[in-house]
Amino acid sequence: MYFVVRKFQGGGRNLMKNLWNFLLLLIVLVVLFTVIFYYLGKVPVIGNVISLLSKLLNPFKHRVEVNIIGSVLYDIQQIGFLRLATVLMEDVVKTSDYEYELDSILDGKYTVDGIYIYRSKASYGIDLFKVEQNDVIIDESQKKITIHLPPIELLDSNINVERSETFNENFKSKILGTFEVGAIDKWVPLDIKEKVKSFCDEKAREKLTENIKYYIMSEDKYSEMKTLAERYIRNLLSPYTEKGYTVEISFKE
Amino acid sequence: MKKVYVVILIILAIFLAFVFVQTNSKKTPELSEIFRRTGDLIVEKYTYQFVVDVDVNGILSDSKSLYRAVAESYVHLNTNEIVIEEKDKKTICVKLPPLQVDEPIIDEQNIQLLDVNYGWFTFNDEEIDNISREKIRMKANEILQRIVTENYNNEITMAEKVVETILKKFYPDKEIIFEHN
Repeated sequence: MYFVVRKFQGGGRNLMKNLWNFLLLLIVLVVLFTVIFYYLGKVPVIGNVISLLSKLLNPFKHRVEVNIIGSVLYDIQQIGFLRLATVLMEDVVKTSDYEYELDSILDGKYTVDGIYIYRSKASYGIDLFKVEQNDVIIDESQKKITIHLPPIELLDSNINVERSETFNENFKSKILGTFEVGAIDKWVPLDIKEKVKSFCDEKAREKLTENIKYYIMSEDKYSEMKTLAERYIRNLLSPYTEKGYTVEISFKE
Repeated sequence: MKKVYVVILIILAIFLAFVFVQTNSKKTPELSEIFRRTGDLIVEKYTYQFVVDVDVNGILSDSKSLYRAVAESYVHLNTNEIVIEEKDKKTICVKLPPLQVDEPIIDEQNIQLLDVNYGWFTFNDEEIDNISREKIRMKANEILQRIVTENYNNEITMAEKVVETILKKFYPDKEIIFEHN
């Protein structure tokens, strides 16, 4: 009985010893092969074969894919507002174009001949915060990243319009509501002048807002902005193209 | 039996080595090479419609005219001039070049005369035309300079964001510091 137990214990010890030897040898070989593959990976043709084999054998492939989606999305969103075009508009408002409307503002007692220059500035671009997880598609088998970008829009919610210059301004008072004679400026009540200014400001705001919004209607300008946006995103994702991914960009219209 | 044991050992070792090579290896390009292939990093188009008043003075030939013109220009950051240096093991220093602004392109076909007051003896239209063109060109440059100054900080911030995002992909553990000329 004692002999049987000793033999069993001896067998167990041998098994443990063999297992330790196996593990030790395995670690040494793994380190050795890793170093060899690492350096062979830098050799042009062999490197590609090693890279391909290591990708096929990688059990963490799914995890890497998920991380890439998060990473691409984070990189894009981090840019925030992608400004593609700045538009500065100056235009004139001539009182002679609004004679009838101004006549009621001036109570039929005065006339005004004025030319005012107005200015406003706005930017067109893409709000990259609007890119969602569904907008980034990664096809790992084809090594392709597809991104659906939000449409190009006006980035400023309010277009600020300001009068930059008065080219010409001449108030006149009417005699009996018919004849016009020159009137000294200070005779014209301030509130009348203010009303004229507010009227012209409003007309300028309408005119310049329309001009700025018209900018994006031009097909050439819109497609040029799209090209610029694509270029930005491709530059931003250049670390992925270095890794062999192709990037495809489309716009949500 | 021993031969089988050795073969299994080698196959297992190769498999694990492939896994480790995949997870540990990162093909990191040279710092100076990262932005060589990307082309211009920042490109923005400035479009400006502006109004110019032109006064031509003379005895009984004073004239005053008002024009509306449209010009365009591009601002960009040349990636070939980005200087990237590894200061120490933890820091990468980036020097961005100044933004390049192209000369304004005036749309000659789209210059509109909005208003004009000629003097009694204004005859020389060619002279007025030349003075007007010169004034339009000067105003286009002036407005461009103003837009560039107003937008400069925004453009630089944008350039820094893009450069930092790209560099962080290759060097996630390093701090990126920007230096300005």
